[in-house]
Amino acid sequence: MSTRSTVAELASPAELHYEILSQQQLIWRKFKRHRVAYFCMIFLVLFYVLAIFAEFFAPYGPFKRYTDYLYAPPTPIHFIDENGAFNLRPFVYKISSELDLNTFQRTYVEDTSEKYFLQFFTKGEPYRLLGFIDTDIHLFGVVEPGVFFPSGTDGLGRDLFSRMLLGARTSLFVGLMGLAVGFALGLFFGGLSGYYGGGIDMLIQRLIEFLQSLPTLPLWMALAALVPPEWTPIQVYFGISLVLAIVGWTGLARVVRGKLISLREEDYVLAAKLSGLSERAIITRHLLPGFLSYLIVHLTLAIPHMILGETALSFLGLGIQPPAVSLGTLLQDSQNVQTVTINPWLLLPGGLVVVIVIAFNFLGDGLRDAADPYKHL
Amino acid sequence: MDDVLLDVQNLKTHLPLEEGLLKAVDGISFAIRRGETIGLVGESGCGKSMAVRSIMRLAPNFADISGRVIYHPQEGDPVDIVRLDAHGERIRDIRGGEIAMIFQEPMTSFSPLHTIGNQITEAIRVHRTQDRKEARKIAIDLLGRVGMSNPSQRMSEHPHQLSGGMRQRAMIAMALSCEPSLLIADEPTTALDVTVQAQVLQLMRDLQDEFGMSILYITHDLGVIARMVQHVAVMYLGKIVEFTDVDSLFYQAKHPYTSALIKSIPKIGKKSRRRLESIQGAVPVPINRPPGCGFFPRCSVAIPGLCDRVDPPLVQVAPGHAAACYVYPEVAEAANVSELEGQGNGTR
Amino acid sequence: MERDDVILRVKSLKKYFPIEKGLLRRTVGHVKAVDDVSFEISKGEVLGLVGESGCGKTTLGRCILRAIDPTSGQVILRTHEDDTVDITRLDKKQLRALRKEMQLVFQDPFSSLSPRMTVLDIIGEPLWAQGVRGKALESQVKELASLVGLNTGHLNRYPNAFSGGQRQRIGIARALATNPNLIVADEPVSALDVSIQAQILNLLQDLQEKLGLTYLFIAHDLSVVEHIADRVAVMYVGKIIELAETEKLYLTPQHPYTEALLSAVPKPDPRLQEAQIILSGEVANPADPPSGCYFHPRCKYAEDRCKQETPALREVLPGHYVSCHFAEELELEGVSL
Repeated sequence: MSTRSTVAELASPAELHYEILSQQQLIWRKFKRHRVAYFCMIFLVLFYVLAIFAEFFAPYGPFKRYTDYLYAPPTPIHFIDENGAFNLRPFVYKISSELDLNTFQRTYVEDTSEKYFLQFFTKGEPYRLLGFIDTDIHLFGVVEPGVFFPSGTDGLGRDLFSRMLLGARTSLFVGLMGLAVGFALGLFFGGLSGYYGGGIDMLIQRLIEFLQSLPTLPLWMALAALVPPEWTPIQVYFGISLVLAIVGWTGLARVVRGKLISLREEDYVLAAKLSGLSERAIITRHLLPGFLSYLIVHLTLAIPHMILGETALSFLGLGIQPPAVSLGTLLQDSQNVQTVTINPWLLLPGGLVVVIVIAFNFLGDGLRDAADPYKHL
Repeated sequence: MDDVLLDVQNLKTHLPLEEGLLKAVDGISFAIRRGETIGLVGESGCGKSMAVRSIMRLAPNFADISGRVIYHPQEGDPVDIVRLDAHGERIRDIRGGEIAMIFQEPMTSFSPLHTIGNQITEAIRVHRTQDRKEARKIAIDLLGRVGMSNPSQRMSEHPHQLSGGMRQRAMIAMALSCEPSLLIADEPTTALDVTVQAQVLQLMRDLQDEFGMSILYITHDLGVIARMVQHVAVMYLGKIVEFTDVDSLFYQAKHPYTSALIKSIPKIGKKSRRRLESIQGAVPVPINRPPGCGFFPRCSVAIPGLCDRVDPPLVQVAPGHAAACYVYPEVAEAANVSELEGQGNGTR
Repeated sequence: MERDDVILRVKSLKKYFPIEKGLLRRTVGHVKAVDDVSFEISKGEVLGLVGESGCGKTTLGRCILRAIDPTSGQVILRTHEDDTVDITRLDKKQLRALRKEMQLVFQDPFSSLSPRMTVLDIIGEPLWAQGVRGKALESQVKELASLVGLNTGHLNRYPNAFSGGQRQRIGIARALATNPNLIVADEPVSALDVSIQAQILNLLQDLQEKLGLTYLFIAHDLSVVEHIADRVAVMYVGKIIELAETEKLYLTPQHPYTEALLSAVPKPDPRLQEAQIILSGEVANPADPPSGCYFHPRCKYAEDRCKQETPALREVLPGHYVSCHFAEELELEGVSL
């Protein structure tokens, strides 16, 4: 038994919080106490920043090919040179490839005769930051002809790290897009269902049950197949968001409905009704704020589903198509077991998906614990 | 003092919480004799429930319990319940066997999955007899004695099939199944309607005449106290502030809290549009409480400089009547002579 | 029962809840929560409504406020403009306009205040609904707060900073905000600590005297009702079985159920523990009530007639209404002093 649960049993909540705090402030305070969730939130915020400015943080462009470096492993970073001297500035050696004539496999060795120091704000491939700032400055890199691939390269000699950042951007924002649409659908149908009840409620609930009883993957695939092949990557991107939303809104609708029904039973909502408030005022003053915290929690927990959905679809070749980059399309390269055994770094995008999904889940857990008003301090 | 059944000495239950130290029970002493009925009365949060939970060793695991609770069994040596392993065999023997407990909401003490009969026979078989048939016979007999119609049919019913009053009767039957020497009743009629409450209270009086057990009655209802008990301990903020027989309590209350409480309740049959004499303020929470009398901020006869500095000990101020208030010179004296000794004296 | 200062007149009010069963939700019966109830409350009067749980007293209160729609009957309220309005016939819009005339004080001081609003917003809500805004709202709320004994400096706090008794004061201030003609108080003190109950009872009484309020005071605690009410109505299984002036009802009850109810109250006085009337059995099931008089299976005076004929509520003494066939013959005992 934790101390948390017993306080509620021992004394009523009003006797315990003497501070003059609003509900939101209390939630925030409780959330900050949940260390893991707090850490995950900071991580995710940083990661979204990283993704938004992906071109700047990436040393290379996503399509830039280094044909001399196909399937190159991650470039090792050194502080100590071949003579054993310590350098405060990290550097990489020149990489040269050799073809093993027995296995016809390329191996990469470091050529210690040439070293290139890592530099900040190097000039590289030009790009357009946020879609309107033309620049060619990258956060870090090495001077040509030296190369620096932090996560190795793929079969076409493209820098995997740069592609991962850009791919993560697509995946993270497809998740948010899908969520926005799913949120609207869920709020609408859940609200209708919970507020009016009766026949409408019955109908919507049966529809939700039907949608939930369909296996997710085939439904995704069927819907994704409806996306016309001649669409541009941007259109496909929105198309896929829509597909994810259509499959994913049911859970949210249920949450909204359940919360609405329980809130309508609250004494203070009855008090508002008896005060002569209009239906609209009751909804905006009492019902919406009442389940806002629950919605945020639910949304946080829904994002990873969306990300996983996109990744799965793209991995199967049904979602976002190359040349557009997403974590799913990056993982397509790792479909072949042989390639993966020889070039294990190709699995790194998968690792990234796992980390992001776990971070979202912890964040959601923390928010849920903090937002639950029935668990006092 | 041969007939003492349970001797509680300076019992403290402190709960370390995030907000600070909650002194739920803060040094209470009283004794229960065989066949006697004692009431523990107080408002919510005064620590009366935590006190009996500590006596039964049902307090939360992280609670810090000190003091002594000496239980004198019919045969064998006295046991200090506080020293027992909270999950050990001896305490489980005592609990349910020698000391039984009934609660406000019977649903929480019955499992919804099993029939009433199964649960009562189970209890009988744990504590009294191995024989299944005999246990069943005892159970049916008990259900009849607590006034349930058609007891053998009731045996096969589940708790949710019974009404609140019937469930309370079934719980009393289960508590009595092992012929306990002490029955602890924690607000047993608070959730019931007046007419059903009257039934259950009458039943408990009849059963006490029949079985002769002691009863420790915990309630906030002074009406129930007046009807049911011989001696009363009034609790406020984790301490006993007054201990006396029930007649003195209602007619010669010594502690300002007790007399104010008695005056503040509307009495039936005394119709008047006169204002009630209310106690100002609210009951504080015993977390990080400053020293001094807990009632000080609400008291009309408080002595500033004394009451808000030193805890008044519970001291005998009249024959068989103890109070913890500095308006009585005995209390001030006891506090000056030795603060620590004063804590445990008055009640015995 | 015609009087000219009547604020509220309830006529044969009924609320039947359907019992639905099965997949198609067929109605298989009705719970008669409120079954043909009529009474009046005059201006400045406190009518106490007592009964055991499930007797329909809360449902009756909610029907009068149209928090739930009654099945049939009339609830006629006199407004500030001296019009009489049948609340059961109003549409949504008319009803909203009339809300300011009647208010509810809740039992639970915790669930009845929104945890997300400041005390200012909570007390001011009925005024807000009337279109009062800004400084005017604030000054009126301040006035209300000091009227119920709240610190006006604490109005921007949230309810979680207040104790149960203070929260109940907030709820009372909200109910007073629009100066209603009728206040329904549904168990306003039963969730409070003993030492706090007296504070709130005193407050309700002071306010009533100061502002000339009219209360329908619903409670299960007979001592509390006796203390505050001018007249008392006793409910049993959806019906009023006795209604009289408080003193008459408590000292000379005419219905056997009232007699037993009064006798069952534990008296906080060890010298007054005379033998109680212990009723056998439990309150009848309102979904399947017994024939004749609903009380007959528990009544020690019951005769054959009680099993067949349902007694009507009739005036046996001036202002004393009872529904018992033998009210005149029975010598019942009231509260002994």
